[in-house]
Amino acid sequence: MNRRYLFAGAVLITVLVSGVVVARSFMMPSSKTESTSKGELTGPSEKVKGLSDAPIEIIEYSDFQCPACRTAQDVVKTLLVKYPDKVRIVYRHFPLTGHQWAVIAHQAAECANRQRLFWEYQDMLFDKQAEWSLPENPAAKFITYAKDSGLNLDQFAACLSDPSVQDVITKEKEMGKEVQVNSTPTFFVNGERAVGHIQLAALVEKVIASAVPETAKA
Amino acid sequence: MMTRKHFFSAAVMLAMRLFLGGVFAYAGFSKLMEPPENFQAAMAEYGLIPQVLLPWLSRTLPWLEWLLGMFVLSGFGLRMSAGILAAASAFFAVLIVVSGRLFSGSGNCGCFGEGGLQLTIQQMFMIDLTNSFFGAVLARIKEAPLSIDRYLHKKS
Repeated sequence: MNRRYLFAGAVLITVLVSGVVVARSFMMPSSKTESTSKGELTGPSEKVKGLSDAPIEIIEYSDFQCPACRTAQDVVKTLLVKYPDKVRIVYRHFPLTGHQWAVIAHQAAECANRQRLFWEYQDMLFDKQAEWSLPENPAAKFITYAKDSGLNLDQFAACLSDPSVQDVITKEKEMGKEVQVNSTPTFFVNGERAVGHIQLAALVEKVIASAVPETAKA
Repeated sequence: MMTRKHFFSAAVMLAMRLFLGGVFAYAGFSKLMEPPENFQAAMAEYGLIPQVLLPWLSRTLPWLEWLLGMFVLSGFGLRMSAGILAAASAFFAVLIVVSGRLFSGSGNCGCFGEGGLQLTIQQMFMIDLTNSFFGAVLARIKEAPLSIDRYLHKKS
């Protein structure tokens, strides 16, 4: 291999690497990733579980029709049981465009949130995901789930046609897109990203180990 | 003077290069523009790669895809780059078959539905097979038209 060849290779690699670095500086909003941590809540529509002063905040972007999000619920629940005073979870809507019934499922869940029964309803949606993800329109099933979750059905029905419900979903999805969420479930554990339940479990344990003193863990 | 047969052959080789290099360069570049955790979760989906390797692979593989894809497109170190990409494509195709995902639905590590080009697992499998064939052919050619290799060879 002659010198000319090595020089050409070095120039080509430098150009290609520089191109990526420059493109990343425009396309990857790394500073915004941090801003998803504590403090940036969306107001009364925020869905939070756990103590407000918990040292570890998990922001979850998920889709009710996503099988991986259903799988992740077991990990989330385990973490809340294992660390009840150290972990709190913030849920954000991220219905994927490829999931046919995701949008109306999220609308139904947001309506449950208006009656302060979001978590009960989301459990129902995840538990029965296989039942309502079929090709038939699941609107009637969502009303049955609302009844089973203890929701006021008149308020629920009126809420479903309220355009401000969709606004909340769109706003939360936009918040996710701003921090480059494009697959579900994506979590931010004190601002650090984890995609899927395997990364979530590992990251929470890492954050617990580094942030919470040994004596406080017991 | 270039005969019709030679011209056709050169055009086919160039088309193969554009496809193979284009697919890898695009795949690598789009992954480099995303957080590595997304690709890490996508690899975890196959369940065949040790967990401990995933963070490292998710940060290095996109760079290799991008660089080797661009090498093939520009015709730099073409035989070697095409050979590596052919082997990688064959490996990915085998991975899809062995993991049993070829005819299964979404896995449990993530739903990948926003941004970029969305392909089904069957489409990915076909592209991998095509790329392994194109790469194997390109790794055997002696001289490629419109390539850095040819330019440097003429100069020396």
